[in-house]
Amino acid sequence: MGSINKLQYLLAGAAIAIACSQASAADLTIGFLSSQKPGAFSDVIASFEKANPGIKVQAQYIPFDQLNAQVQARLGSGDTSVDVYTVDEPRVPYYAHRGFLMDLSEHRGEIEAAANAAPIAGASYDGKIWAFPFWTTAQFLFYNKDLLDKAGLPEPSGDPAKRLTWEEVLPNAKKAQEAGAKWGFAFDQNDRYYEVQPLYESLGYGPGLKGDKLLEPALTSDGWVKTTDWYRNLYASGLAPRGVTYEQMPALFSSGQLAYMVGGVWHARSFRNAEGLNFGIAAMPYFKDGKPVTPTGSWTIGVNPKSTKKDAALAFAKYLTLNSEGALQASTVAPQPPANKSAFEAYLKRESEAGKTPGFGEIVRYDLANTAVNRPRTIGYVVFEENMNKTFSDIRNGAEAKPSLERAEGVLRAGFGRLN
Amino acid sequence: MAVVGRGRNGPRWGDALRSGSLGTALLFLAPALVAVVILRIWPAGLALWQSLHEPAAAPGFANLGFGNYTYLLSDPVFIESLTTTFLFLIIVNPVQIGLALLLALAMDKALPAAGLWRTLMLLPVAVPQSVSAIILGVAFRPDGPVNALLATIGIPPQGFMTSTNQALITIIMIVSWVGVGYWMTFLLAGLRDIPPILYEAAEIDGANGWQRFWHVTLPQLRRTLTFVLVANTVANFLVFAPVQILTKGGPQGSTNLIMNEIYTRGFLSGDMSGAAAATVILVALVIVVVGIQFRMMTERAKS
Repeated sequence: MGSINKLQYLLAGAAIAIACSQASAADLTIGFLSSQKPGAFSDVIASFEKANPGIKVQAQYIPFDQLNAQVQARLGSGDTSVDVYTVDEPRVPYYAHRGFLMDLSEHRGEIEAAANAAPIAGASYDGKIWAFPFWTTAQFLFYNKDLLDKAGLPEPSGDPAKRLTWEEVLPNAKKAQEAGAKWGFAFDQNDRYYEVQPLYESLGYGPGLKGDKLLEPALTSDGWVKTTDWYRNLYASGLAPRGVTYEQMPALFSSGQLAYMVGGVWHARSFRNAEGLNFGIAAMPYFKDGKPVTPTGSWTIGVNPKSTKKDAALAFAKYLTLNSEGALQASTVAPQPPANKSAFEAYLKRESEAGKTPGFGEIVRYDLANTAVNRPRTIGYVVFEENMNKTFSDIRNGAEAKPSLERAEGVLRAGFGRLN
Repeated sequence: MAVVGRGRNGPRWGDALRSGSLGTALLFLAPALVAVVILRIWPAGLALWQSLHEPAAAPGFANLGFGNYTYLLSDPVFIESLTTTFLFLIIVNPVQIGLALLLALAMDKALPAAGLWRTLMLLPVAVPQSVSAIILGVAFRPDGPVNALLATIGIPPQGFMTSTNQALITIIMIVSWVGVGYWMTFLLAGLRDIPPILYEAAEIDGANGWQRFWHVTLPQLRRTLTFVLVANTVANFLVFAPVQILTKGGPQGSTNLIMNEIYTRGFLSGDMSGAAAATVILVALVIVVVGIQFRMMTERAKS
């Protein structure tokens, strides 16, 4: 027994040591978790710290694919080293449901005064606001002028009302490939539901979920199978590259290996800076028999309800989103359109005048007003997206469309059956 | 090894008690015991408790408590992950141990530059599993160097990790690249422990090479082999990093080994309670499989 008592002393000592180290670190340093590139928020953090003496922000950058796992593991276990974190809009309902987000209803007035309506809807669930609207998104059809020239192809119109159809883009992409482009066409987020969803929505086949709470998979209709076959054929025919990840795809375009790429508007910045890249932008294509549909929805800023420094956490979250200077600065290195009204206008002006992309503001404004479709808002979204991304990845790598979608339906039914 | 050693160690514990050195022994053992309790027994107990009792760990999830187990055993994804894991184990364990034994036998001979060969074989062990997974992942990409190599001898490009038929085999090759060299060192040490006099006696009796291997080497190597078999089985039950980094369980679940399934469940779907139940099932399976292996190895020894 004597040695067990000693053990208890040892454990108690260790616990006290840990508690003390936490206490001494409590000089109002807040943790900010995001999946942007390391350093993406350094400038806006410096400005915030200057304006709010006594608060330090410790930025934690992790890869996109690990963000969900980190949030589930860390917030789920009551970790308070994350005070503020980026939340993808469609994940708001699930995270709110799980208790990972602070209810921001008391800040509703301030949020509605500062932010655009669509991103506020994206941060809401069940009649409450759970996150600060941060960014929104739109897509461009990026094209390489030199590769198109070489194949004798005309440049697509920059007018979003005269966008190309897929039936026009793909034959041209093939011609460009025959004339020397390594790849004809690619989606930058090649197997992410976000960028593939508009294909189905353009033809009216729905988001793949149905029911009151969007907790019933609907992936095996003829329309879904047919459209998935179209997607599969992009890769099976060799028009688009297999085995290239999202992180590597923009580099294929900026290094002149890709003729057409549908990608997030934020890539315009790095393409402008790419030496020798002669590129243009147009609106995202649609199916001839369907209507133009484009993806949207982006990051929001959530506050950990278990944060021990809520005031500082809220101050920082507001600086990133409601403060128009902070919001604009946060959209510089990671240049997604701010949800903040005046920062949004300033951002469009800045990006349109930065050279090489004069139609930037016009296309973003048009698409957000006319063609943007959000991802499904349901507590099942996290399970849905994790499985859909895997399914699209399988199909891109050669799996047949129908059995893959049937398999995904089975997996989703089991997963949704577990949600309460 | 513990089973084999118990009979011999028994009296020593008694002696220790009588001479009062048990306290000293416990004191020396304390760090290890504390580590076992904190790192093994406590988490295992926590998993069991969470899997049965803690709805608070999973707000938003239905069918908790014992329902976790009935749910899992009726979930096609979980069942498929179990069968994939067994298929993996049935292939990877004999392959790794067979190759490790072959290499150990080769290394045991006086080869020229033996040190160099041994170093080369052990080198993969020194590389972290995640790093080797990334390196070999690039090698096995559809447009990677392995396919380029195959093309030079006229073999068409293979899908490897993008093919449902080849992904699991590719993972087996990747974990074996590390595993074979590692287990070889144990077997080599076991071979070195066999008294040469036994071989001399067998030679005098007229035994040929195969007979010497079958009647001297294998029986003498039994204890080492038991350890390698058990430790390797456990290690292979717990393979995670290469799967997570390279395939995430795909394509179409063909590499969804149980550890990846538990990770997906707990950290991607946020179903901690279900993940805890899956962990308990995993631990139970490991105990049963290892128990069978011990029994088979000791029974063979008796016969």
